[in-house]
Amino acid sequence: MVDNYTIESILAADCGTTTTRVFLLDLVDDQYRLVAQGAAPTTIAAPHNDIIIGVVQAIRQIEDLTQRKFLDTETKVIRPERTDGTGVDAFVASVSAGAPLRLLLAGLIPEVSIASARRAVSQANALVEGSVLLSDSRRPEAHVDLIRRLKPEAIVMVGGTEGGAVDGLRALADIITLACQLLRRENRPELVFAGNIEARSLIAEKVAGLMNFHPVDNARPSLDEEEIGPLLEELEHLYSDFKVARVPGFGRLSAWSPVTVLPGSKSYSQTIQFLAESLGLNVVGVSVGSTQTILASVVDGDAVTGIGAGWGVGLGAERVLRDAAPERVSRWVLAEDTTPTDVVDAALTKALYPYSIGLTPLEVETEQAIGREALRLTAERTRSLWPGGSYQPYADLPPLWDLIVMSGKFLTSQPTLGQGVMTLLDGLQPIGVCTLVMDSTGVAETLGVVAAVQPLAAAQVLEHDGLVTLGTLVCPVGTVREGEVAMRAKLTYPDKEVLDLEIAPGTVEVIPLSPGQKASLELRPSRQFDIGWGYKGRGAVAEVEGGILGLVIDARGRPLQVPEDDEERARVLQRWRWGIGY
Amino acid sequence: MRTFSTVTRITPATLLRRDRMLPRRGEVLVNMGDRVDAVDIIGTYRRPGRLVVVDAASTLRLRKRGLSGYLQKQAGETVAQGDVLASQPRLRGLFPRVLRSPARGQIVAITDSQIVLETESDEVSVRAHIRGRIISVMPERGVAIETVASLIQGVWGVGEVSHGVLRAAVEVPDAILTEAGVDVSCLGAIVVGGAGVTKEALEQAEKMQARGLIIGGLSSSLMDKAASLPFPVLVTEGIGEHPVNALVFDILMQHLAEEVSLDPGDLNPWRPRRPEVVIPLSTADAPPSEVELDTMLNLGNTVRVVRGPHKGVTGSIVRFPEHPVYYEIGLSLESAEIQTQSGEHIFVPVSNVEIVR
Repeated sequence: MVDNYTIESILAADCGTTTTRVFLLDLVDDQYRLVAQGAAPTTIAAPHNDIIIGVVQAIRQIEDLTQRKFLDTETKVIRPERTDGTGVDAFVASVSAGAPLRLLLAGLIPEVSIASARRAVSQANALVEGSVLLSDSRRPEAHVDLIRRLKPEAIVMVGGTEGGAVDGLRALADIITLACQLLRRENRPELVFAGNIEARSLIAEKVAGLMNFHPVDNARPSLDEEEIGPLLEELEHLYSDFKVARVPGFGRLSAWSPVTVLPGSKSYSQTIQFLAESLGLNVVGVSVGSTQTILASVVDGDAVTGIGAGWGVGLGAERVLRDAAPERVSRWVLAEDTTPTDVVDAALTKALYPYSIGLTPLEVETEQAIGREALRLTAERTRSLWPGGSYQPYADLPPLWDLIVMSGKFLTSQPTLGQGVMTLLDGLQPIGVCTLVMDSTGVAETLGVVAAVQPLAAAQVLEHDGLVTLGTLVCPVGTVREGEVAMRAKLTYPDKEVLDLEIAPGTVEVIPLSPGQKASLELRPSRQFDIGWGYKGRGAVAEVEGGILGLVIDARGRPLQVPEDDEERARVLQRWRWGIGY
Repeated sequence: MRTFSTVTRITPATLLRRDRMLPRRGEVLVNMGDRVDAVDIIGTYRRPGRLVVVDAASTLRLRKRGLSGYLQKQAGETVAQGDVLASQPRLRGLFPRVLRSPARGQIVAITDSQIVLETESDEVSVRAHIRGRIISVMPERGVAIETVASLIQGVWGVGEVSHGVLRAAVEVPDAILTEAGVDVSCLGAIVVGGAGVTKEALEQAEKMQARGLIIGGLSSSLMDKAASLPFPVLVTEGIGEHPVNALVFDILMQHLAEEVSLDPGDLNPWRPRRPEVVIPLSTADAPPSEVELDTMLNLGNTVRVVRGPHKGVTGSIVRFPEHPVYYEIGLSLESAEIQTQSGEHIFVPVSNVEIVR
């Protein structure tokens, strides 16, 4: 319930795993603007065990900067704003601190219903820690023992097409109920059932008094139909109720806010959806955090938010190493006298000190390598959810986005802009021609929740203070053949000055195009390259926008080929780095 | 504006309380006020046994599901192999269908068609591992022990909690512990290594039946090996090669030949419990208690640098520069000026220091 007064000033908090940021939005000349921001370490762990402490610390920084008072003597946010300028009209917050939901999948056939469940989970802040499949050859004891050992927070049970037999689900429910009887009441998981609706009452009866039962529509009503929306929604509810709401100090944080405190990924995806809707574009927001990586995409009006839960550059570094394989991480690092083991050591040390900042070439390059692989893993897992069809001409590559929003402190605070952009290009491998913007202040991640109390504030801050244009990306698809020309381009500046370019394959080039400047770009790709039409060799003319970086032509081809040979790889990576201006 | 930092406890003397919990419900064998030595058993529990799922409905050939009318034993009861778990009476003089227990154990769960038995398992003893006084008893669960001790927190650990006599296998904190360094004096001891350890040294320590290893750094290539050892390994600085910081090394060297406890902690990233070395003291003086810690970074704080070119250095904060400090890598960051133990002045980002108390 939003308070019944005009909301002019807002404090918006974004509580991440390692850092809490608070933003002050206020009216300046009748426009909502980002006035100040503060940041402090997140304080959900010992000895603080209270998320509010970090939030208060960040607000105190804003008080120092603005010489205004926002907290009363009991360190509560003063609301609404008083005539003397103390307090704010609203406080809102998003929280991504804390652990993802730990899940166990239970189903009948891995390629069908379990695959659908995995697609739903890839959009939720949840980790699959194990699965119980009736089709495998393990004895019931092994399944029961697995559940007892893992103690999942929720079991997602799927299987059975509508109107089909229920015997398999009954047997699966027997295993789950047996296992839950062996767990202490406080360790018993929630049971989300997204299988054959005809089995719903039978399973509800079996688990009654033993576990909380959450029935939703069948995620796979028939072999060729998939309906994962209701399952995803239930997983989001569980994450909010069982993880976010149980962050220490959440109750007080929630009491300050007139609207629901949102998970950080939800707030961010709402910002991206808002942006896509208002601009009428296909947009992706990319954020790599300490423990999660988010790809919030809107294509042709359809929103898909891929969450790489557990994959991040801080605490999540160890999981990235494990899931990507250490050699895939170490291949990106060129720091002198460095072995692959040194890279793994550096990554694991970063995970021990997630709030720390890399200062040596090895530390910085290792973090970037982890970031690349976290993005690659998340993109790969999200790929099957992207729209396909004309917006995604290549099934193994991302769709054609018009706008990429680079967010999160990791990508936006690299030693040089080129390093952040290169990390994004290598990890995400976007295709076609698109504009690249950067959420330089980090405010975009909170604007989704700001919109719940004052949509105009979210829109105006996003327009004026949220995003900085870096330039335009041109990323053709194709295979590199040394010695040939990847494409020819003609860039016509507003003053009619013309720049003719011959782009060599396997290169990255940055062409100057200043912020605010628009130019006409004529592209004539070779027969090995496609600039996003779905046909190789077909040219186009596009109006492109300049930015801090300019026009970036990434002619390395897609999918990106990183040489296996150490010397060759070092030479190629160095050439790419020079190309973007490392 | 100062900010919070992480606190690492490296203290020569403190009054501390540590819970020693049984992994499963069991029996606590000590009483409130008892004095315990590290080797004393404070309780016992039984390991989880093997599970046996019995498909009762099929054996009894029940047409309808629901076992309650046929059960001869209930959940929680202990049964011997061959005991009747359930039976179905039959008409016309036929023998009843009987379901017998396939193993000795306890009935732990019953559904409408199945019975689960957990077979009997070994009893395991839990030792105090710290010399001190029992100040709290949680029946069936465990105890809390209070002691006056030196406390050193590490950053990574693996294995089970242990105790033993402290031995130094290196003379300086930046030495690498090699096979030759692990001699017969390490027999049954908690061994202090240096900046790293070789695989051969780990194997030699296993041969010498070491009870634990404390090192500054451990290569990621040896983490699996460390996890397979029968003793715990505690890392004080980070993964890779890192000298043990001077404050830690000094405390350890002062307590050679004394009994220490080594707890490798819990590495769960979401609910971490830091690894630690506890060295009970014989002092009668009342040392400072463990108090609620102020974690705000302030002038005069003793800190250690956790990453960057000055990694591992300890010193005191003498100034917070007004403006961000530029670092060669290309970043400008809010920083602290630190006077190191050797008297040098260095700038370090506030994100890269931890308070040492």
